Amino acid sequence: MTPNPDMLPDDLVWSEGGHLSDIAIAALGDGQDAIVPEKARDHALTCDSCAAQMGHAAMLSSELGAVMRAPIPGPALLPEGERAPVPWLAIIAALLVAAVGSLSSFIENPIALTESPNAFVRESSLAFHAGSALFHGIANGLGPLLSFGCAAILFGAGAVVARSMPRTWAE
Amino acid sequence: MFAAAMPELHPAPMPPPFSPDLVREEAAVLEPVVRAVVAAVLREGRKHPDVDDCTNETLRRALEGATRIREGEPVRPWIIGIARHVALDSLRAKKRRRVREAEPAPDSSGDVTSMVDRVADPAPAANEQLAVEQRNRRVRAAIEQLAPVMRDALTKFHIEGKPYVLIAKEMNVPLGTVATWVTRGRKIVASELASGGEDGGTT
Repeated sequence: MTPNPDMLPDDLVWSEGGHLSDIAIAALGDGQDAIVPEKARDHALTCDSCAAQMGHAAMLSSELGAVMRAPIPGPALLPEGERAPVPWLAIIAALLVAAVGSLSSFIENPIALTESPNAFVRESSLAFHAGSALFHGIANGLGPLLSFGCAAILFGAGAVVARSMPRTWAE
Repeated sequence: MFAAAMPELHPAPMPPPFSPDLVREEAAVLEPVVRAVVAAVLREGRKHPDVDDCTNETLRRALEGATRIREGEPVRPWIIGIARHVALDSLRAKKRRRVREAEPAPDSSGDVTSMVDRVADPAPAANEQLAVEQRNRRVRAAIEQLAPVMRDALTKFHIEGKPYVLIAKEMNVPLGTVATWVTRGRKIVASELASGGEDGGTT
């Protein structure tokens, strides 16, 4: 008799002891009943051992299928030790925005532009005095120092966060 | 690594057409498999009363929830998943009952904290979610390590939803070869998981 090509051959269906083979059990667990001979299907319905194995096979199949069908989680973070490059583009854009913002004051007072070198010296001197006043302020209380410290910490934290952002975040 | 490799695994998802009637039909056909899954989880014979109860409960939930199944979601794994959960719930309930019976009766002071502690939280804990994700990653890695023919056969079956016969025709191999690849491929993945120190089984 010619074997049916759409049916599992007997040597793949049965194992020792008259029980079903792993292949037949997996096929039944996958719902491929049509390729398993009727005698083997009946055996799976009456044999507790084969039924339990079929149950395990069905669960493994459905679990594996669920994992394979599941969308792949988002991109992994950068490998340890690797850091994102300095965001030069963002820095330049921020500087440009700041420059555009200050344009109006230069238009209103163009002399300020020509006086800016002198003004820079004056402002530097003022900043130095402010710094020394701050230093002396330590003796009078930590209030101003705290404000300054917080600002510095915020600035530093911003820089650290920007540098540690994963490169592939937006991919 | 997987992000680059895994897209090969699902090149053309082919979800079967969805309809609640399909769930009803499938539920009727699946009764023996549902019973087998429940029996496997409970470690009882197929005729055990608990297996009967869980099988009926599974089919009832499947029929009542037929409209809730997501479009494109394969029905068979969905019902098998319900069977597994119902059986596990039954095991947990049995365990809780045993613990309650072993414990001394609660005092009359009405200790609210201890009562609250006894209420089961149905939501998965964060560590459980992480464990699941870690496990899924390992499954994907194990699949990637399979021989290409095994991976192709599993992909065609699980992702493209093709039956063994069609896979055999497409891959131009005998039906028994496809069945062997699918079975061996799954066993390799399961043993990889088991060797990783976690439960590689499905119960």
